[in-house]
Amino acid sequence: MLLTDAERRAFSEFIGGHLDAAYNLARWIVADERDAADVLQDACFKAVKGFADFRGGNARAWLLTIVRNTAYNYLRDRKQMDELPPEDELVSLNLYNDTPEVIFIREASAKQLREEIERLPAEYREAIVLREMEEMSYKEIAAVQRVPVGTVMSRLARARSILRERLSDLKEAL
Amino acid sequence: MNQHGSDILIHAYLDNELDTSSALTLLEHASECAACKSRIEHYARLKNGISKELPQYSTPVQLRDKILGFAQPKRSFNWPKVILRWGVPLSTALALGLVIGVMISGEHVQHASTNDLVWNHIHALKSGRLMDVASSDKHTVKPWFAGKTDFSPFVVDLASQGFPLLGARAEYIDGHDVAALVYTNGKHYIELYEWPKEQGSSKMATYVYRGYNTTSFIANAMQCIAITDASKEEVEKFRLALISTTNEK
Repeated sequence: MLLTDAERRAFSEFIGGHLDAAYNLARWIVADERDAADVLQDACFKAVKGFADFRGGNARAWLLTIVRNTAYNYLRDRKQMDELPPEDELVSLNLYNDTPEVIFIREASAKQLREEIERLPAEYREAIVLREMEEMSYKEIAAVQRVPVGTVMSRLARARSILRERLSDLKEAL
Repeated sequence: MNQHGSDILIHAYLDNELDTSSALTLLEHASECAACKSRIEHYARLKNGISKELPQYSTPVQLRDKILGFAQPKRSFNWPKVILRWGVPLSTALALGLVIGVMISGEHVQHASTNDLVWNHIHALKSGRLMDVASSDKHTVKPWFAGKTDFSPFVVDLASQGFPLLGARAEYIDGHDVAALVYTNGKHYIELYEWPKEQGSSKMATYVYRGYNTTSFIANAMQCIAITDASKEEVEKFRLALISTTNEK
């Protein structure tokens, strides 16, 4: 099915407003500028094709879902996907055995923070980006990642606890 | 609350996802429990650091222009599109006896248009992701589609006719599963898109779009569209080779 000119115009307006969010997400998932450009083009191309079928709802979540799926296909093709622990393992994760005393304390710079986030498994990284940068609710993140809200919660918890372990003492001023 | 707040609870609190009473219970507990208090503060600092310090990447200008460019309404006359859009009225006009030299079937194309497929092909080439399964064995390629498309495409090896099979990928175009089979002809790729023929599928048509020769036809109850940068003659040979194998069955 082809888009009418009116649909194209609508699509152009719609995508223009969410392009940076889409690029940012792609950039964080694939962690490379050039790959992100490829992913974004590919995703937008798919979005144009699917736009006629899109019937309202959360437009940004719809676009970001296409972007992240494209990004993961990209990583999978390049065998860059990290294996995630089974989700149920995460939900029951008891992180209570570390105390502030045993945490390795160091100062973290913005650069270190970015690097540590880039080292996270892609799905954790994605959850962090959607939550902290796109300020999405758990429900919205669940819709984008196509997982239950509980999984989003455990991904965020896991991601943050990894970061916390690695960058124990973030300065207030950071 | 005697129990420590779980990490999940703490994050939900910091993310404003906790209902008021649970939040109060957590805070009440934290006021008496140094460990939980320190966790909450620590994660709050981490969250703050992330949202303040993470670079928010913005789309490079060239990329933005390119993407918005292909979403813009076309200014110039796009003949294949015009033909597709006006195909039905045109065929009515033809029935009325008006002589119009249009080669393409006037019937409405239900699925992806050939132009869309050409774009898909170009895109697959550009991204270097032409194949998700690389094999010249039709017994590898055909079963690969199980669970990937909502039909089983017909896959034939045309190596003896000069078109060896290279592999395939599954596409989802315009809300439909499409099988994309990749063949070669010398240094050229020939991509064959297939999906189940439906009422009103387009009949045979041949045309050039953005330098790619395309031919659409029905074979083995499949709507087929072959796209290649090889010559018109080669794509026609390919079509005939394909059709001859389906007739043998």
